[in-house]
Amino acid sequence: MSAGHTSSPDSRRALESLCETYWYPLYAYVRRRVPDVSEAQDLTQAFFAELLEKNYVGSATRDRGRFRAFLLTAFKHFLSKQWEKSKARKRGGGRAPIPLDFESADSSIRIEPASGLTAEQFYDQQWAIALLGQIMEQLEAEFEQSGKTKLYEALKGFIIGDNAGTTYRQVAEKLSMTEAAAKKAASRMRRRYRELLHGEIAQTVEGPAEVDDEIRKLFTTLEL
Amino acid sequence: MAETKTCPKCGAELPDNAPSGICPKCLMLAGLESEQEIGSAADESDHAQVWLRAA
Repeated sequence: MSAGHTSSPDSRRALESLCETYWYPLYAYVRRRVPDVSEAQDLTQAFFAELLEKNYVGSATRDRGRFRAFLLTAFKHFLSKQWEKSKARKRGGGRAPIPLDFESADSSIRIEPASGLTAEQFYDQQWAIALLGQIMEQLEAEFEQSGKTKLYEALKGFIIGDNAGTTYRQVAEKLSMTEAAAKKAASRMRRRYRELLHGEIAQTVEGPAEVDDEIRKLFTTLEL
Repeated sequence: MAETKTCPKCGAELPDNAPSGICPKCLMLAGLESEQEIGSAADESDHAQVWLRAA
């Protein structure tokens, strides 16, 4: 877990990157536990300020396991401390460590507890979705850099399989290519998607051997 | 009334924040499947078979 290695020169950058991707699941968690939106936002912001400033994750050794579980445990501990001290409105030293788009987050998803999931289950679900969103953004950026945005848009649905709501023939006609070429491009996209997914998850678990296990666990949370 | 979108593969209702508008469950599973499996897995029962092989 590169973000947890204090000796790594890239550790802080890695941690910031992880926080930018995974702040939302924590926010979703605290929204389930705190009825006041402003308080939930303040707590989330303050936690990340402390996380980055005090390098919480620097002490995250291999024994602590997955970054997903570690982050939630650290957040719970932080919330307990804040509530005990009645300082829940503390704002991380007055500056935002990373830009957290609460407005967009609140408008893009129903945070209210309507599904019957626990706050922890909701956190895991939102973690999985945040992870996948990050991968799809990376994939789109790669296609965009290669001048293949239209190809990405036409084929992205095929990442989950050939039953993508459209056919290779339709894509081929739309992009003036052969059906075989469309199918081959989709296969390459799927392969790249898997590489990105495995690479991203490898940053949050103890080693490559745990990647498939983490994928299975995240899949299970999405089935709830 | 907002339109409910469903996954063309598994039929599940898509969450509002589905990554790139794609079913997160099927996306996650695609991370485990081989190219041969992903090309042939067409429904939920195939999902389960892939799952059992992967576990």
